[in-house]
Amino acid sequence: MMYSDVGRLNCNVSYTNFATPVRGQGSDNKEFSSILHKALEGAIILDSFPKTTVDVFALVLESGGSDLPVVISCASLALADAGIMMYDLVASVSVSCLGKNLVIDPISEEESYQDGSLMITCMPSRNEITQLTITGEWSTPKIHEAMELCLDACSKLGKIMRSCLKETASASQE
Amino acid sequence: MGSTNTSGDLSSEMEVDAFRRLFPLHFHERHLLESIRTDARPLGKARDTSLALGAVASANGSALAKIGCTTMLAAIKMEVMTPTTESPDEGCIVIDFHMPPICSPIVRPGRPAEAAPVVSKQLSDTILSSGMIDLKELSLVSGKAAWMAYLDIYCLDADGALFDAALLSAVAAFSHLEIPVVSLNDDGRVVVVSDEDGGKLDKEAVNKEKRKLKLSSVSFSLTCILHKNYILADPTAEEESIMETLMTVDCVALTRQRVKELQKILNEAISDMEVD
Repeated sequence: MMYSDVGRLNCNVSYTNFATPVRGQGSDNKEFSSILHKALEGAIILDSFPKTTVDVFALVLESGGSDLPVVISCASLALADAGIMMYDLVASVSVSCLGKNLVIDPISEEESYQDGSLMITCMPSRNEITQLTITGEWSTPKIHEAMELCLDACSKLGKIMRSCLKETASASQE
Repeated sequence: MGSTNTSGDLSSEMEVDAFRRLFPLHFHERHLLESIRTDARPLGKARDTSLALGAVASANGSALAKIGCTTMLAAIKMEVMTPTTESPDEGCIVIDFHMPPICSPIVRPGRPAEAAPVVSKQLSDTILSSGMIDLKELSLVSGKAAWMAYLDIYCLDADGALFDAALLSAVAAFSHLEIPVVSLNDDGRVVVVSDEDGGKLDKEAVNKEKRKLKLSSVSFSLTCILHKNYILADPTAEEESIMETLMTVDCVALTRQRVKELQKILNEAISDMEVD
């Protein structure tokens, strides 16, 4: 392996055979690994660990809809738990557009009827977005509304993630 | 021997963690001399075991088993299939054991664990040959339809005694399994009746209600390793890697005790589920 003065991030997302209602349908998990990579690489301080690779493995045990945002938030928590230096936690939320309605954090059934989906991955405390994924049919005002909804949800999620880490840290100190 | 002397001299000078990393065998042997193991267990005692049934809500039967840190998640999904002509009255069970990269630092996506196919084969053999499940119970319409049960076991954390935890989770998943209700549709094919239209069935249901499988002769296991003249029950990954591993039948007395413990845990888990 070539010497590298920044760290490397390696991501892998896989599904269990029983994750989806139809057995073995691991859905689009080939793309998920690279999406996870792009979502996390902006947040990790790669300079802090040269010559080293951080492997992030995600195994989806049960898929109930809105899988990728959960995987991303979970991976960010795991990295924080491992002590990897990051600029901020990464929180992720997705919104589905069903006709005129915006549905946040959709379940699989809602996702199957959606006209479009928008997923935001952001660093809540820094107010920076690391990744934005939009698919399907969207009008501009709808996009604005969806983005605001997501960013608000991400900051709330970020607070919960932070308090969870604090609890674990103080529990292990005792 | 030179190395023994070196380690003996250094042991008084270095920290416990460093000694454990550099001379693991001596570290463990020092503990064995006092008839205790590095995690303060007596030699014949297994680690804390716990079971949770119904861990995967979307599967027909599932269980999460933990032995110490070793964690296994087993889930069963049922599909309808046509039985073979040699055994038209029997269903089929397919057992798959996976060790995903999250379970251990030695497993990587391109490099599967050596233990995985070994445990997988052992599990298949044990479950199918022990007669725990009568395949005739999985039959629906003789010669036309029968159940295929896919049992998938995922190792979530590999810390020794993989076979024990996997077998325990498989047994628990089978005891939690509920066979879904099916009916014949217009083409004469068997379809699974979903809960929502359970009330209005055009054709009569083949089996009226969800039922559980009858399990006979449930098997449990205990892995032991032999080192010099010590028998250690339920090894951790560290112990397994430094001592020669043998799955032995000699420790029958230890196994008997363990079977009683495990049967109790399984029954408790089942009765907890039934209360709900």
